Amino acid sequence: MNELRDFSRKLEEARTRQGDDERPSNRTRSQHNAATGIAMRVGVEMLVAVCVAGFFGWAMDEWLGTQPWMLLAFIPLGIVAGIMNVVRAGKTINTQQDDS
Amino acid sequence: MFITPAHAASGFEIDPMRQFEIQTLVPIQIGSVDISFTNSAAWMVVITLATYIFLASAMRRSALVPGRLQSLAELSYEFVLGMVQQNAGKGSLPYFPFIYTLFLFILCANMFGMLPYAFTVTSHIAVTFAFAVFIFVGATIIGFVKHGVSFCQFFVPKGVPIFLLPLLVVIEIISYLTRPISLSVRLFANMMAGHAMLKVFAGFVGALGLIGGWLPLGFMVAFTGLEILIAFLQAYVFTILTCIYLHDALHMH
Repeated sequence: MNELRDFSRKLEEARTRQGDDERPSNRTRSQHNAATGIAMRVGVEMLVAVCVAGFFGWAMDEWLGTQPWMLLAFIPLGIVAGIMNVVRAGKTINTQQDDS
Repeated sequence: MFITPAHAASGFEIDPMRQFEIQTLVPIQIGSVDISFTNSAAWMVVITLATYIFLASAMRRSALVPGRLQSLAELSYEFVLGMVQQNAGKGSLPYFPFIYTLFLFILCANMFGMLPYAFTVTSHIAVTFAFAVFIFVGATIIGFVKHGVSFCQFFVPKGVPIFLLPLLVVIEIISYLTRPISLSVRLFANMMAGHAMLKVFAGFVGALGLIGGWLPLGFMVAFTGLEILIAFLQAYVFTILTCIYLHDALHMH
């Protein structure tokens, strides 16, 4: 175990020499990456909700023969669902950033 | 391939979508079902073997002080472990092996797609949608197994006036049903658009020749770097959303 303790001490020294322990720059980069990931997540969310609701409404119309009322009813619901998805994604991002 | 006179004149052809074509390597037909071994399947085998060989050779001699390969394997393990613990919460560890496998497979598929002449498995919606539906159905089953019928409360928001409730339940259900589609479309669209764009710009290099071709070539170098970043980010986003869906199934909020 002595060897291990010795090693972690040496590692510590080497890290300070290299300036690896200056974490801030590292963290901002990972935060930037996470932010890009979020941007990609949110964009599709909105569109897909409208499409799914629209398809659902269209399928119900085909089934019940009520063109175009179900479609018209479901598209606004899809828009609301899409906005809700985006707001929810935003909320989880906020809590994650508060944690870190 | 059909060559029009315009193509013949300039000596090459621009067909950015041909890279996504499925080619049959070994035709197999069972009844009326075509289960031929295609280039897509071949690349999946390559990806699976590559991840297996990577992990197996990295951990063959697991030293206390890791070497290059071993630290790479440990880094990926800890990265996904942190992601699962942070996003899926308590009781999510039994599902860690699946999520780790998923991450490695998608990352490898995206990265192998960046190799010249490679086929990008994740640029087909059939593949990504199969993943997403599996995750979606799996998470829903886990939710019902853990919470029984009360998992349906997931679709009933709290503190809402009673006359708004039916409307909101429908909206919640739509929002839940969009999950597999947004999950699969995001990965597939990003991979396909990126690769098609690279091919289009490669076509410009050829078309503009030695004089004007340098500008799109420079753009392509930069864009290849961006594509590699996107390949990683999309694997990351897919995995993190899997964790979030798992969290909803386990904790219901």
